Amino acid sequence: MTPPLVSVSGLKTSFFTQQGEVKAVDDVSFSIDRGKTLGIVGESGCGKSVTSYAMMQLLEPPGRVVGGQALIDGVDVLALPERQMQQLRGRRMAMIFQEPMTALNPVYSIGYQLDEQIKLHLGLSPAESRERAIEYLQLVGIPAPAQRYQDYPHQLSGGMRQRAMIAMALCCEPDFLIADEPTTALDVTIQAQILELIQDMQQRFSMTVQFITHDLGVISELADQVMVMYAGRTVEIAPADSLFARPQHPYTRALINSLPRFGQRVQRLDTIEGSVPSPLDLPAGCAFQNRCARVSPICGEKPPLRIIGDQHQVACFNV
Amino acid sequence: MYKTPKPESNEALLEVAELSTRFPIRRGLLLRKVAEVRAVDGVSFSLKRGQTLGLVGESGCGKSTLGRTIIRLLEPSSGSIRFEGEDFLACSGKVLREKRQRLQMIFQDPFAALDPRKTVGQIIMEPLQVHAIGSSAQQREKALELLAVVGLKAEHINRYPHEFSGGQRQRISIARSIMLRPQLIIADEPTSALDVSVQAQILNLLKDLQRQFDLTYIFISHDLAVVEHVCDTIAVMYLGKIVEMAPRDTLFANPRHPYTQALLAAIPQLGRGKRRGRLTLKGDVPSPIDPPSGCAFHPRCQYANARCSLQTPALKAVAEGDSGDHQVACWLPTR
Repeated sequence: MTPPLVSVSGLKTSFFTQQGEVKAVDDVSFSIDRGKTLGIVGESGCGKSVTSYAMMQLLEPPGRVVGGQALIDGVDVLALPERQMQQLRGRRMAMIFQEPMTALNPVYSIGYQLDEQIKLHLGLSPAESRERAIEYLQLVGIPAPAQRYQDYPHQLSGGMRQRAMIAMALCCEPDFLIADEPTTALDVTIQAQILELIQDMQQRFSMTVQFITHDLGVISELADQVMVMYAGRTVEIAPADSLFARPQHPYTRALINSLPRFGQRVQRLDTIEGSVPSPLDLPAGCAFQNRCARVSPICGEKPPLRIIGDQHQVACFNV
Repeated sequence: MYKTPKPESNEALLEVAELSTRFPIRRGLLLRKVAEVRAVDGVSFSLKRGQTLGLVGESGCGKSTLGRTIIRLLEPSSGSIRFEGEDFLACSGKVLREKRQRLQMIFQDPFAALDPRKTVGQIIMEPLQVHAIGSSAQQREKALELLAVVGLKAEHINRYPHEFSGGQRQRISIARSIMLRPQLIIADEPTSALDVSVQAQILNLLKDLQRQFDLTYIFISHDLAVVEHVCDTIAVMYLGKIVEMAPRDTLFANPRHPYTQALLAAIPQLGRGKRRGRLTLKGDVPSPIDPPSGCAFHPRCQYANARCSLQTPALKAVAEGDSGDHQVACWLPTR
């Protein structure tokens, strides 16, 4: 068996603010097999995006990785100096973002921004770069790619910008793609197009994908493996089918039950009482204990992730 | 201090007919009108007391403009609005102010909808002050009562909006909107900015309030699963027009318009397994400045024929001997 392409262990990331240390990611471990998709899901502030930024070494101060390693094809990317990281970013690992307008540079044409990295990473001539850029614009379904090549980001619609950004992420054929809520700002029919596109590209290039979203529906249709995060920690990891059919952690269950679903006619939705504890003031032990219906004295201790079934891991004492 | 009319069954609280809202596009030195955006284009429906109408569609379909036009935050270009049996567009001055107490709005972004310099008490008492209802002691008492109704604590009355989470802020907005005991509330994407577990709390609250205060809602959302949960009737909009309208169960069991079908197919669902070759709409929503001829959906419609690009289909009852409450605007409504 080949080892997983991505293997993160004990990742810890903190923000050192004036109010104190915020543990945004606290001891998170996971791995992703080659060509597979891991979905990371959770509500705002759970650490799902910070995990990904840390892996790309894109965290800005006061944020900093304080522990753990992230092996990508055997190389610990957290330990690499910036120079080597630059050779990796865009070439071996790429990232797409929620808001393409903040990821694309408004003063350069789409073509210029694609060319730039093709030249840098693949060392192609200007003519070859242009050809490859147009080829990728076409591949992601942008009509009239030769004209769009000359356009500036503001001239494209939201869906087209998202496609341009995906073209940019894919044009050097990375092994590993991190997608951070890439469809959250889009309408549903456009979202469906983009999700289909990402899956097409994944198959074509046998890419490994880490997909971050707060939308359980999207995760369910895209991921092989799902990791649920809460307050900076992993609460449950399982194959997608198993997670949605048999959620084990009280938080995962509550999250799934609070979602209005098609064809399910209920008078009231289940809610999760209370709110996420402040990251500056997390309780000792399980972070979910103040909202959990099954809380018991043992929850004052930190629950380790333990295996409860076929690749199904959960961090709860009471399941 | 308040009078709440008893709801009479089958009475239409709101009737909208052929309502259009157009925005002029002006260019050049003299700002001549060169084109117009038909944000809402000939929309008609009626809404009974105590019911919830869902307006769904993608960005730019005109659902928010329609909501704002009904409450007269925007003036319509043509058409009529009858509210409580009276011509709402003919109201002005004092009568309009009086009427407006009975029509309120909740906005999507609870961060933008609350004045950051005012305390929660000032925010939710403001409607009473504007309409000079009650003494300040009575206003405060009312404010405390409503805080409890929406699930906030009495001590929150002196705090500022920034001290609250998104869900709590939306509760404050809701308290403000029911302060004047309105008949109709237009909720424009009230949960879109919230996390799912908080969304569930707010949806439950809106349902509770509807029962408690006999409210009628127009619920604007892009999320069909949310709309299915709260609405009795659903209208699907595309480029300023209603393309399909039906009671909830009918719409979900038997969507007729190709756009409605595509919209339903596009929504990611739990436990449906991996997405593979499902019906996916091609292309983008066209510009409302220069909408396609005929049926505005025809360039993206897989069933379109020559007629669809020439003639605009009207919203008509689906011919099926049903009660006529399932309406669709399509030349080919048999699929």
